[in-house]
Amino acid sequence: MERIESGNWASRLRRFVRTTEEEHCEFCSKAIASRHAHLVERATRKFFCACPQCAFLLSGGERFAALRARADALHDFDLSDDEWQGFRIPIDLAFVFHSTPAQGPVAMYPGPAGAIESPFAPDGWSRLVAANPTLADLDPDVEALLVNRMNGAREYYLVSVDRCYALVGLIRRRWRGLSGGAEVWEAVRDYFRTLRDDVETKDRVHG
Amino acid sequence: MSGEARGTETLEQSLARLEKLMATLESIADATGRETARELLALLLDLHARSLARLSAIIAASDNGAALLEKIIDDRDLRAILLLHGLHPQSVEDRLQEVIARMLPQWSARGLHVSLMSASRAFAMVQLQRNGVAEPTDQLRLEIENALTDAAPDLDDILIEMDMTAFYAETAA
Repeated sequence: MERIESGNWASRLRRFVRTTEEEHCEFCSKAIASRHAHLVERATRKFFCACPQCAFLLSGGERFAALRARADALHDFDLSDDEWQGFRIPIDLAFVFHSTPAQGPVAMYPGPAGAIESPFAPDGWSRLVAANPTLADLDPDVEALLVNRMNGAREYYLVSVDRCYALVGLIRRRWRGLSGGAEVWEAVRDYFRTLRDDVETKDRVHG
Repeated sequence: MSGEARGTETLEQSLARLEKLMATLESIADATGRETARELLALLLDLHARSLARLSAIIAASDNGAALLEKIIDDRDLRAILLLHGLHPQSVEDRLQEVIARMLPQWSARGLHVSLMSASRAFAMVQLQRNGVAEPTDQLRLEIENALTDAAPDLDDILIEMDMTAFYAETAA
């Protein structure tokens, strides 16, 4: 049989002409509500929209992890400037999570081309967890420590990884020239403003 | 493009052009123009889908319908259009199993074992056992993905599951 080298062209064409904004479960194709569950494939870090049934069934296995929206501020986070330097992350903005395929902590930081990934020294992570026991509760592959030390800030959050990737995407879209340009850093400030608002709203609701 | 050039264009070339045109349309700032073009395309596809569905039904109900359909899906242009409209007589699962069976001698000679775990309307999962094969993971993944996607371009995605410890040993190296 001859090859048709156009990948899943039929699926893409169908999606292209689909005029309604109706969303579908990516596992069983059932139509789903605009607020729906997401699963992360641990090995590839791909996100999938899922109906409640598929989300329940698949998140019980090892392959996928269910994504739960999370945004908590860590107010008394213990991390000295020297320790941070020791992690050798070239920018004052990063997120760290436990990766199942990597079998350890992984750091990601945004750059002009998207996310740059580097293994996070396991002993450094152990010390960080010992000093901040709340990090031990991070759900592998789907929850991250988000660090913002830009312009003298010392902000730390526990967030679901979708928020981290949103930050990476925002930076990739707005980055101009060598240093990013004013627009990108204004957008990053907006991002953290929204994050702080979300954290505060939630804290009020939960009393 | 002239009518003559269009006649000699291969299916791949047409699909590549289709892809480019969709991207161009997507980038048009004029929302009314963009949506009108999209609606026009959707309507044309619908008209064809309806007629083709009836045509398929008539063929399937005729005396030597099954044999005729076999012949039709052997033609790659016709197969592509039937796949697009969800009218391919074989299920996604059968199509994927067929590719796996066809590739079996070649894959097992290289120590690869590929098996279909599940297939839905949007999505299929395939398991790959490498039995110590040293070929780069990305290349293997791509090769298998390509072979399977050709038979099922109507799926959103085909996921290949493999031994994750081996996967990481490689990316860390």
